[in-house]
Amino acid sequence: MAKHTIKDTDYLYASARIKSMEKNLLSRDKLERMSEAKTLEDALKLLGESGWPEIASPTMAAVEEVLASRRSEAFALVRSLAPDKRLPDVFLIKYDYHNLKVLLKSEVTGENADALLIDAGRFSCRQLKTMLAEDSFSAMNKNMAQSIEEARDVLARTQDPQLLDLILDKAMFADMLEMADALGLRYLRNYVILMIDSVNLRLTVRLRRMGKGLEVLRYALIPGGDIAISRLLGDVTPDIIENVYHTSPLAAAAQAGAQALRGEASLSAVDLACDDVLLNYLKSARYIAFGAEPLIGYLAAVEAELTAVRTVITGRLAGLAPEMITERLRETYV
Amino acid sequence: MARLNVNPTRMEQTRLKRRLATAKRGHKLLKDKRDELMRQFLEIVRHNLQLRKKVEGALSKAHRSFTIASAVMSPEMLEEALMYPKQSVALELSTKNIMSVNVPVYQFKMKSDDPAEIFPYGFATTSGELDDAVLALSQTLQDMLELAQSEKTAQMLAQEIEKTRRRVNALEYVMIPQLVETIKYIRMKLEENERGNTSRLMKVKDMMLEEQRQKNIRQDQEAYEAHCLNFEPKQ
Repeated sequence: MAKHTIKDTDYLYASARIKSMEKNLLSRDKLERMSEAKTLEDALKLLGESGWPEIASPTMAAVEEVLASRRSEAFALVRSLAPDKRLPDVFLIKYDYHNLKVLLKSEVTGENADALLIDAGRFSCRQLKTMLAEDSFSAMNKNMAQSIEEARDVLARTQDPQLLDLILDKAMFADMLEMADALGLRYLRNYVILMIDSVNLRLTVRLRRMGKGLEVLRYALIPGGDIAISRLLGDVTPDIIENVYHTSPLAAAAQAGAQALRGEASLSAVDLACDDVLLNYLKSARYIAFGAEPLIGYLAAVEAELTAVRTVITGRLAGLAPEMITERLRETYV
Repeated sequence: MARLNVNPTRMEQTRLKRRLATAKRGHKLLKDKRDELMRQFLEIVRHNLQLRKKVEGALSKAHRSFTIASAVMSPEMLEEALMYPKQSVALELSTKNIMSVNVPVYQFKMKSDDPAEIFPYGFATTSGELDDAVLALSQTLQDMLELAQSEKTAQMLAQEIEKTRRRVNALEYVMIPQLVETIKYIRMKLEENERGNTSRLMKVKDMMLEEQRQKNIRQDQEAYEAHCLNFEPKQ
């Protein structure tokens, strides 16, 4: 199998190439300058100065177009450089599941929701559509195929779109873990595990805030993280959340979560803290001279950068104050 | 003021007098209706203003949360999260009668009574801010519906007030003066006829007296002449 034959040294060129690309990523300083720029046009000009393609018009649609092309360029680059071509897939799995959600939901609503599909996953939208139409899931892995069947069944019985999302989310993380295992990359596996822990933290806080019962929480929690699910089940008070995550890297995020439960902080503060923890974990790849880590770090950094640009531009378009935008910006990779 | 084109007869005058009485009574009633409508209208408008401020505040809060959620989620994922609603609402429409204006009354019923049933999405790929946005919108629904009801009521009452005001004005400044004028005209016309009649009678009386006098003179003359013939000396 490929994973046994690939060594760190196979990544020498790729790592060097990616490290040279890292410096083109937007720094926090630049993002802050963008959010403080006088006009939106000035902010977009700053983007242009950082090597971004020109954005035709200052609208969200034009910006989204550029964001999508930046994303696909970065993935294509990493795919072409990586010895194992499956490397970027971990980041693409979420698009497959997003497309699946759209297609399964539109099966029930009967509406054509093709505009909501994102053609960036491992499977093209057309492939997914055909598979769903013909019920042939042989090209998919077991997680995905099973989750589709379960989701269809649950949706037919309950008409509850939330359950469909929960089933597919669980399958998505199982897929990611499997992919990380298949690639044999510890760094990637730990990243996925940290992601699962952070999602579990966020959904526990959110479900508690919604006043949902234990049943839904048990159904929603994603297995596979470092924090055992059983520790989050029960009467979860803000203190318990803090305790459970006390030794985890997510301790700060758990504190924000506890504050959100007490009504002292907003949910976006929890999201922000979780994302920062994940990015700080990824940052460790910057000190690894060669190997798969810089490539993975770079991909995550590109995704984080796209979110940051979207945050700034959306904020500017909505007329938010610069400090409101900057306080919502996540940590940056560089 | 123009008067109505009617025959100046006593019958017409009686008819018009009856119409004037009705018009005056109608005017008073409509004026009362207008005042009451106005009172209710002002009450509703005041309530409306408060409600609108509340709804607008809540909506801007929801909008802000949506903006923040859309900043960290791609637009496709945001729409996907909301494309299939979990909660549904049945709206019942009935009407209420305010001063003979049928204003709408909305009542809605959620499919599920669980207030947490409004979130139709999973949590792995959605932002927490979306929860706040959806919650803010769902909490505003009741107020929004009440606002719609109260704004429609205010609008319908305003139309009714305008209509009533026009009627009151038409009665007050056109109909009633016209009737008064016409009645006055008929009265004067009748009085004039009366006077004409009297003078004609007086004239006839004079003529008749004169005729009588002439007749008396003639008779006297004839009597005198006859007497004189009787006493003529015989030759």
